[in-house]
Amino acid sequence: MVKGQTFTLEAVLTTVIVFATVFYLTISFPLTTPRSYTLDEIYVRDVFNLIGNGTLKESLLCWNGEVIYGGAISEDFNRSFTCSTKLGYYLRTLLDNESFAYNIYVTFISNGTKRELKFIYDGVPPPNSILLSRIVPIYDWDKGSIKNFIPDEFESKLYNVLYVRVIVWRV
Amino acid sequence: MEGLRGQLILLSGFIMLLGCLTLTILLNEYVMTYQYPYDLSGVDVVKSIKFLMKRFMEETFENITSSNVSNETPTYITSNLTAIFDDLENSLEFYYRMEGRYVDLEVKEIDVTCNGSVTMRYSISILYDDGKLHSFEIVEGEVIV
Repeated sequence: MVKGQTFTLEAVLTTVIVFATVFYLTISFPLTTPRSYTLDEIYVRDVFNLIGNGTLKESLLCWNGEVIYGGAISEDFNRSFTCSTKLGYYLRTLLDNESFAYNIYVTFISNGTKRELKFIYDGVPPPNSILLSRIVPIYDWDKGSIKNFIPDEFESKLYNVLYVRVIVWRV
Repeated sequence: MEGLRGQLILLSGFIMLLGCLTLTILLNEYVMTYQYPYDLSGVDVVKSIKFLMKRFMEETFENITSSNVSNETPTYITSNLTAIFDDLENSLEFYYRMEGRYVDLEVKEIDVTCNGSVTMRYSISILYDDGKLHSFEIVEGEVIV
């Protein structure tokens, strides 16, 4: 009985070693070309270059701090802003209608440490999602409801600096 | 018989060790890919910093100049701009450090002249390094209010 078990275990172990060797040899050789951007990645980057040129800051300034669940097509979207914004139109047209889902997080500095808020949440992203970030400075002369929950962190005329993290994936 | 039993125990232990190792590697891979989705490289970050700097200089200069008409001296404008720039630079470095990127911004020149209108010429250097991309760029411009 014990002899049979020993031989079986030895066979299992040999199989594991053989498979490990073959796997190691396979990944040791460059079987694929170096990774280049996919069309989705280029598209998403262009979308956020477009939105980042003003629209994102305008929208964030009049955000009331409530999380928007389900993206720009959700009913929560318009309720989360104290002014009209083009962000919803851009996100709906360029991402939602093109079968993209996205999460947007806003990080700010409070007493020297970072704090993160969910801005738009559309679920848990898969591992192959696309990540982008944008820096949005808020100044003392900027006006908006975001100042109700984000503190004035600096003595200069800089109010706070937002780090906007965007995660986009195909659905 | 006793020798075989010993060999069996050793083999079982070895297989369990391999199992634990595999599980740890798989879990680690899963956690790492979950935490850090694929990033669109440093080229995009450098472009966005260049754009941010240009916009920062224009927006800040226009606001400082227009909100303090009685104090429109070059020294006042320069000191205010420098103070805001220093805070922004520290924040940028802080945020990009979280992504494993080294960013160093430095004001090379701010020259403000008042001749009827107020003119500012600026030059900012951007040093960027993320291990894959090493880049040095200069952003220059002129703003007239």
